[in-house]
Amino acid sequence: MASPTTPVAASGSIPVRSGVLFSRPLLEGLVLATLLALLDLADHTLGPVRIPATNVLIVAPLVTAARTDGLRTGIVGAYAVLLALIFGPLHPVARTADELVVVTVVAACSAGAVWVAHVRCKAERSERQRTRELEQVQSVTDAALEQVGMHELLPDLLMRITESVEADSATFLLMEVDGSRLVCRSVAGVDSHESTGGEVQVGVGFAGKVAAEAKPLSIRDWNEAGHPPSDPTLPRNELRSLLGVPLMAEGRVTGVLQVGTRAPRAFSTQEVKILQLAADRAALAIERCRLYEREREIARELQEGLLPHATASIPGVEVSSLYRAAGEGQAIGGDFFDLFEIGNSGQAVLLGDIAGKGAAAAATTALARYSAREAAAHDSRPGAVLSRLNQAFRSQRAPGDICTAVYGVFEWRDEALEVTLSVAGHPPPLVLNRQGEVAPVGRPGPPIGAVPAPFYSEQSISLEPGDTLLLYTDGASEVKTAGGLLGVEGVARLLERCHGLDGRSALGAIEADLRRCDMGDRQDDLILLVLRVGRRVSPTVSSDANGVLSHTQGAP
Amino acid sequence: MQNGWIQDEGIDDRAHLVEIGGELDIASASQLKDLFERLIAAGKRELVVDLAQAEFIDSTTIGVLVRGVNQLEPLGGVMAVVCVKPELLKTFEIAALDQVVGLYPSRDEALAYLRAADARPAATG
Repeated sequence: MASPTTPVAASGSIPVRSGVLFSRPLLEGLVLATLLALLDLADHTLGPVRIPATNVLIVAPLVTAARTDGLRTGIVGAYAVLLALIFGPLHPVARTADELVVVTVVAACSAGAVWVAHVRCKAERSERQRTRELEQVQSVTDAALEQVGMHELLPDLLMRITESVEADSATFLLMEVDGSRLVCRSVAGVDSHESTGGEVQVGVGFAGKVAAEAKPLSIRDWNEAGHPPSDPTLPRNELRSLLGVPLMAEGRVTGVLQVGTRAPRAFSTQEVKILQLAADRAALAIERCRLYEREREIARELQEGLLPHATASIPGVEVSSLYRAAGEGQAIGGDFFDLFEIGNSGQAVLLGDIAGKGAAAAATTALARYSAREAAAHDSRPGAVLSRLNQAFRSQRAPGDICTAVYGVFEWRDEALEVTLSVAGHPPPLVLNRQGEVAPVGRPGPPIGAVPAPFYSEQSISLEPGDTLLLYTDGASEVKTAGGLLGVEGVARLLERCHGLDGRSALGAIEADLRRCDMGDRQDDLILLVLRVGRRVSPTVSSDANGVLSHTQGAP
Repeated sequence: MQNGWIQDEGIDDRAHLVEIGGELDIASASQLKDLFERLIAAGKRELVVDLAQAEFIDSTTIGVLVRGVNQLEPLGGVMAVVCVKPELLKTFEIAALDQVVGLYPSRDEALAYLRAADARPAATG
C-alpha cells in the first residue's frame, strides 16, 4: 500500500476556503481515496485497509464486491471516495477503542447504504448500456440497409461492430460456395492489412469450430488456454481473448464474425448476445449484398452476351455501333441489338427496347434475341419474324411485358443493297441518301406483346453506295432538349448533318450532338447503329477484309 | 418543366375516368400502373384515359397503357384514350398504339365507344 504522504502533499496545493463546503481533512480524505482508487486501477488487490497514522478506513468487502461485479474503476473510485468521506480526516487523532468500534459500525452501515446505491447505479448503468447496445445494433442495421458492394459493406459493418463491443480487432470470414472453407474477407483493427485472404477448413481453428458448431465460442485468454494452433485467419498480433459467432442465413452457416482484444477479458452473456444480434443483422445484409452482386453480375453477363460481337458483318457495308447503358446491375436497361446471318442469302438486324430494367429485362432481351434468330431460321421475312416474336412474348412473358423492335434483312441486288424491314412500336429507322436527304423507313406496327395477332407491314428500300441507314432507340428520340423532346424529326436533323461522313464519323457526330442538346436530368440507355453502304464486293472475297464492324462502347 | 399529374374519378360501377396532364416520366408511369391495377381490382372494366392535358408521353407510359389494355382484355374490359394533341398522336402513331387501343377526340366519344363495346357481350350473353 502506498504511503499517504503523497496525497497529503498534493492536497496542500489545492486552494480551499476552509470552513465553507470543503474542510481540509475532508479534502485530504478525498485525495487519498482517489489515489487508492487509482492504485486499484493499477491492478492492486485492495484488502481490508486501515491506513496507518490516520483514521481512514477502507471497507474492503464493498470494494471487492464492486470488483467482482466487473465494475469499472471509475465507480470503484466513487465508492472509495464515499468511504473516505466518512472515515477521514487524514491526520492522526487519538481514538479510544470504543470510538473505533463505533467507526467500524458506522462503516458497516455506510457500506450497506453504498451497496444499495451501487445496485441502483448498476441498474441505471445497465439500462443505459442496453440503450447504447440497441443503438449500436441499429447502426449495424443501418449500414446493412444501404445498398453497397461487399467491399464497402464489410469494413463499414466491422467498424461499427468493433465500436459496439470495444474490441481491438474484428474479422468477417465468409463461407465458400461449397461449404468446406471459410475465407477471411475483411479485417478491422490490429493487423488488418495482413490477414485478409486467409483460409481455414470448417472444423479447424477457432473460426472453423464456430462454423462447425454453429454457435458462439469464446476464449478468455490464449495464454491460459494454451497457444492457438497455427490459424491463418487469426491476426498475428497477440490477441489474448476471442469471441466468435456464426453468421446464419436460412438456417445455413454463411460465415463467422470474430472479435478479439489484446488484454485478456471475459465476454459476458450480454456481450455474446449483442455480438450475435449484430452478426444476425450483418448476415442478412451480406446475404442480400451477395444476391445483389450476383444479380448485377448475371445482368451484366447477359447484357454483354447480348451485345453484338463481331460475329456477323454485311459485305460491302460499314457497320458502326454505339451502346451506352444508363445504369448498371439493377438499373441496367433493356436496349439491345443483334446482327446475324440468315442462311446463305443475307444478314438480319434486330434492334429493340424492352420495357423494364435489371435481370428481368436482360432475360426478356435474351428471349427476344433468340426467338428472332429461331424465327428467322424458319421464315426470315420481317413481318413473319416480328409476328413470331409477338407469339413468344404472349406465351412466355407476363401481360404488359412488351418490347419495341425493328427487324430488317439485307440482301445485295446488283449494285444496290436491298433492305426490307418491319417496325413494332419503335421509332422508324432513317435513311440519309447521297444527296443529303433524310427519310424514315418502315410502317408502324404495334409493340411486341401488345396485341394477340398483330400485322407487321414490310417496307423495302434500295440503298446505293454512299447511302447511310441509322437505327436507334428512344435514348436518342426522347432526349429532352430546350424545345421539348427531340423526336424522330430531331434525330433526322442530326443525321442530315452527317452528309458526306463515313459511318464511324457519323456515329460520333450524332452522339456528340445528342449529348450537347440533352437538357434532361435522366440518362436513358442508348443504341446507335449506323450502316453505311459501300461498293458491293464479290461473294468470293472474304467478308472480313471488306465488311467492317467497328464497335464502340460508350462511356456510361 | 411542368411535372406530370394524374387524377381519377369514378363514372359508375364499371367505368372510370383517368386524367393525365403535364410531362409524364418514369415515376408517374409507375403511379399510373398502380392506379390501373387498383381500378381493375376494384371491378372497373371501362377505363377512359384522357390525355388532353398531357404535354408528352414517353415509351414507359405507353408500356403502362398497353399493360392496362392487356389486363382488361381477359376480363372483358376495354380502354379508350382521349387524345387531340398532334405531338401525342404522332407518338402513338410511331408506337402504333391506335392498333392496340381506341383513340378518340373527346371524352364523350371515348365513353360512347366503351358503352358500345360493353353492350356487345351483354347483348349476346
